[in-house]
Amino acid sequence: MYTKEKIYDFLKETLVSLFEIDPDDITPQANLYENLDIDSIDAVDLMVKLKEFTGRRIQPADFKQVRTVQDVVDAVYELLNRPEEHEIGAESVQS
Amino acid sequence: MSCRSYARDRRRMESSAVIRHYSYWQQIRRSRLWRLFGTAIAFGAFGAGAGIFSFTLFPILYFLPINARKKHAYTRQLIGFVFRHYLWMLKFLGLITYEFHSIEKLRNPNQLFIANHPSLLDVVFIISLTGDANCVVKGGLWRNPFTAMAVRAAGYISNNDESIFQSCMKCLAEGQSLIIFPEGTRTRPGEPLKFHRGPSNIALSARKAITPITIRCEPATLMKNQKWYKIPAEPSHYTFKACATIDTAIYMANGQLQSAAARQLTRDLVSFFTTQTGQITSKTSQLVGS
Repeated sequence: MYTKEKIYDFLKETLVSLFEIDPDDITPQANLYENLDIDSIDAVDLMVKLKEFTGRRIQPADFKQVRTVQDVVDAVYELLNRPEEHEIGAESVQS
Repeated sequence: MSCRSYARDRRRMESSAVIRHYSYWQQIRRSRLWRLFGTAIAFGAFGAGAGIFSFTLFPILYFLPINARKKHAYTRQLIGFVFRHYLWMLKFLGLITYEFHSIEKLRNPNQLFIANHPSLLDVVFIISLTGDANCVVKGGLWRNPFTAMAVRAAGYISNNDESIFQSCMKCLAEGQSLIIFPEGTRTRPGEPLKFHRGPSNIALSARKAITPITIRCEPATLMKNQKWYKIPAEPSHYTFKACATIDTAIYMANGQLQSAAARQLTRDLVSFFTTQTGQITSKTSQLVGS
């Protein structure tokens, strides 16, 4: 089971290694677009990394409201705690 | 790299220390007072020209019921033609001098050009040197009555466009050439160059090589936050150079993620332009800027 702390640590590590962001700039309140200079291309790559990390399918809709680092952590946490069958159910409705 | 470094040129200039002699009339034409007068004429002419064209040819082109691609091409050719004569006028007035290197490349179709942006006239020069090329230009020009018709009829891309990335990709996919100033605004003299990552991402996503256009303007003039009547010590000399293309495919090799590749490419572009244009090391831009 992933705790929010663990997710935060992974996210921080990823932001630093992938986007060369100064670790000191990364706080839960930091805005991804305004403070951390992340663009839409970066967001796509970040989703790829999060997919590898969680082993779950990630729908772009899950991250639609995401603005800050904490929002990403919450969204990932939510995703991991969502029952698997519910996710499958939701997908079949969509397709 | 085919472009020679600015620092080397500069050392050569300083070591040779040529003292030129100007005739009486040349001295008057080079004087600050004459050039202040000339600059006022030049700005006036630009406004008058833009005003006249905005009520005549540009609306006609804009509303012409022909294929949009053709319409854009005609308008761009017209703007280029007008700008060529405008620059000729500036030279005639003794305000500027200029030299071009390998700029025939600017007329090649389906190229991605990236240029630094030291002065207000850069886009005038570049558009005068290209044929049917698209350009990302300041969004404010769509709201300015003197320029609104021209940028619309030419189908240029606004930097305020929400789907700017898609617009750029579409333009390259259609086979047009595209000019982008990755600084997004005029260079801040004396500060290190800073490029947006967007143009790098466009090059990587569209799998396009980049043709850098280096621009030098000495002494610096018409810079960001500089009043038009701040006349430089002598007429500004512009140098435009289309450099060898930079292959961008290698940045995505070995499964590199585009986010990382774009950062590396942007860094490389900044260091290339810094070496070529002598930003930071340029004494002139620092002195005149103050």
